Amino acid sequence: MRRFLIGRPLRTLLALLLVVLGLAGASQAWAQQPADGGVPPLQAPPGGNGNQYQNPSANSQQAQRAPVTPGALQSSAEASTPDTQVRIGDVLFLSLPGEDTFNKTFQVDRRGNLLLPEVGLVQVAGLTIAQAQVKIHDLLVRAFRDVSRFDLALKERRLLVTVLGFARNPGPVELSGDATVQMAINMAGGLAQGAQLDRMQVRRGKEVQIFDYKKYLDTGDPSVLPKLEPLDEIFVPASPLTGNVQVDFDPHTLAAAGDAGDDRTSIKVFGEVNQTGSFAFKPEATIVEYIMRAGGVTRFATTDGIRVVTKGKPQTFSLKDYLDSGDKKLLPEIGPGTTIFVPKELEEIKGGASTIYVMGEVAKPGAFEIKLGVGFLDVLANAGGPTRFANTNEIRILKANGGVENFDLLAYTETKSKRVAPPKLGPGDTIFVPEKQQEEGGSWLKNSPDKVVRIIGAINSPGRYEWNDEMTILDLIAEAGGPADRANTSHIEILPGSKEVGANTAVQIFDLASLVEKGGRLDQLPKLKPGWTISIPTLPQSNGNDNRSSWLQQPAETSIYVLGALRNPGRYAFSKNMHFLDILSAADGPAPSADLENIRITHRRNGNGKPSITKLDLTAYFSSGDDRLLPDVQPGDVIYFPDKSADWLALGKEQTVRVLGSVNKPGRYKFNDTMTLLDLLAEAGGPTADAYQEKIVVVNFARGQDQAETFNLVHFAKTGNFQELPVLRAGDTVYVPNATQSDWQQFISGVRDTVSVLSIFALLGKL
Amino acid sequence: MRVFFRPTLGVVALLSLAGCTEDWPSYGHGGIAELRPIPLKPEAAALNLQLSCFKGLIDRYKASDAAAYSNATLPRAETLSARISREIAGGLLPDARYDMETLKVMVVDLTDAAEMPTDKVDQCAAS
Repeated sequence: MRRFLIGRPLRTLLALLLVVLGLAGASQAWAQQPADGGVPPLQAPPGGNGNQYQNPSANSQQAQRAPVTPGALQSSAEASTPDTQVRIGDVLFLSLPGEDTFNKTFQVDRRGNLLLPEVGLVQVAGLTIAQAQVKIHDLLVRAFRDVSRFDLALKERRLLVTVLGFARNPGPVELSGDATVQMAINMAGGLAQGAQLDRMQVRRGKEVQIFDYKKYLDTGDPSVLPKLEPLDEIFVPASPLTGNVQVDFDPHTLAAAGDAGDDRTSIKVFGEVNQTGSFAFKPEATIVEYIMRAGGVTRFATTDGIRVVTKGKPQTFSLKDYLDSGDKKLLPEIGPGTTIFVPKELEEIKGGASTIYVMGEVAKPGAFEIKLGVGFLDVLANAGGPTRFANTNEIRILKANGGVENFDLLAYTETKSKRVAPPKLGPGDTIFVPEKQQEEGGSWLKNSPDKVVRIIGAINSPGRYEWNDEMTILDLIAEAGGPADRANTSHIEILPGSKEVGANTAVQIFDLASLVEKGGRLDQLPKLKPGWTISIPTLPQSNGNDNRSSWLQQPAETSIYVLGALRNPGRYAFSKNMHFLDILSAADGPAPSADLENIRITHRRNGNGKPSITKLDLTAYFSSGDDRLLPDVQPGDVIYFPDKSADWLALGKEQTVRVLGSVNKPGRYKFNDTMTLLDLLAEAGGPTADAYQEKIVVVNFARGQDQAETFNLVHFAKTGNFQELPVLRAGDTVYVPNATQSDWQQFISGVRDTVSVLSIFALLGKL
Repeated sequence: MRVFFRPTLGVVALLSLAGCTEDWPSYGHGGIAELRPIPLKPEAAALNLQLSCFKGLIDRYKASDAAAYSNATLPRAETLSARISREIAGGLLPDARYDMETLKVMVVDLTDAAEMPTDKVDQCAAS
């Protein structure tokens, strides 16, 4: 041990210097401590100060990093005087110049002792600074030679408290001298989940102080928190909601279960609320607030019979009435420990003088109270309305007096012009909404024949369909899936029912095709009635030839007949909307041998007027394109295409020119006004070798003045004078005489005859 | 000699008469008069003037916008006018007058189609 004899101011200065430079021999001093009979460190103080017990070199380094002086020390602690009492946890700076093991801080441990080198434990807690200095000085005198410059100062006040209960890291914590409860909790790792905030405790000896930490968090008022003293214990209780069994729980679930910290005073809310639980009582809160904290009532809750038990006195609260009126007088008294029960709306059998019943295909069938002014639709709406299976056309009202009324809700909602007011209801009445007929497989017994319309034939879904006067034939056809592919929609037959027999049994014909193509007035559609039958005929297969049996299915009044030289003559379905070229195309056009200039159309008019015949020159149409040439054909007409090789008797004399005499092909030839005699002779094969070509005779068939002319073909061939051609028209006759009929031949013949006669006479004279 | 001369003279006379026994109609003409017109007699010329008037209306129709549309009356009228030309040239005047009435109807149809004044047709008919 070294001894220094230095004055007191110098000692202080030296101490500071030593702290700055570090005391290299400090570790050696601690190592000698046990050998000196001192008390070894029993417990390392929490916090950074604990290191100086375990690692004196670290303590030395810390002293080097943060050199302190007594003045500086005192300025960092609370203002201390010689009368300031030393507390547990206080950090004292002991200065003994020249001694390596001093000139540093020492903390008063939890027992109030200071552990000093060469001296051991010194009880200082409870003493004033001056008393502690004297006490330590007296002890140091025994161990050190010169302690005249010993000094003691309060460097820092520290709080040694213990945090227990629902803290994350419960245990002793060391705080600054002015620390609060919140700082202590933070040092302990914060609060654990499930901590009850409003009933935390500070224990000081046997004294227990309960404080509302939640209130401090809400308000920030530090007066709510108790002032901590050394060795205080902060106890964080668990919420009663955590139960008696340790399980991991969801904090959200815990919060949803309420926030009450005291079962005795908490408000219990249960029943048909979304989050049952116990909630902390608040004097100013009403029942509405507690119900809201419980998440509100469920949709099954009855809002007019909430049970409230306060101080053992039950009462009933109607939330509905309160919300309707806003009268706070209706709110029940809520006190500590009040129980609130929201019961479920009971399903009870209702009945009585003001009850009406709804059953069948409605969303919520049942009994309903009826009041004055409540109508049919009100009741139906309260029953949830008809379901999608409901047959709203035939809602039945079973009256209390035994009568039955029908009501068509569909017609009421759709037809303004024929709207029938809903029936008036009275107590005891029953509304029955029947189930509508199934689309497939429904029993026909569900609908009697006088309520349905039958639709058969070329329809996608033939069958019996329930009829309503609001429907039209178009609705019915659409309901039946529409016409089939080969449906003849231009000739839909409507057969009246049995009720109309004798009055009007005639079958009506409805031309749907014309209506769709050309439009029309929908109010002039055929009026159907229940019990009637609709038949949609089927068109024949691709044409009239391939399936003759199907002709029977095709009415004669919708057929047209195409005969003669066509590729596919036959009987075809035809409508008024079609024209000549349609049927000509349907028959695959004329055959190559067809005489297109002499087509005949017979207009039979189906008994409506006298038949007539039209002649058509189809070549004129093809050459001009004039649609006016095409005749207006109607169902029932007959179109005949003659063949070119037909018998000439079929042609009148005005249509041909007769070629006679010495030609290669004498006969009757068709002739038009664009042709000449030369064309005709060429057509007839030309004159024969013995023809008298100088005298070809043309006989004109004219009005009132028949005349004949001759044509000298030989001369024409020599001169090429077309003016020599005689006039020739259809109906005329051309005669090509034989050469024997020429003048010269006639002369020669006469001479020959004369010579012969004279020769006879001469012979007779000789005899 | 005188006896021989008398019979010979009779035979020659007989043979000469034999060549004059056939009676053929006169030669015709006007068989293609719409293309090869021939001189006409005054009565036929008046009728031909009326036909020319109708042909003028037909030509006006062919020059109008209406000719762009199909009209079977036009080829029929042209064919009929050719027939009438032949009938006039061939001396078939009654038939020509009859067919002229038909042609008038056709020309009226064409005039209507071309939205031309119909009084022109009447003027042609009166010519």
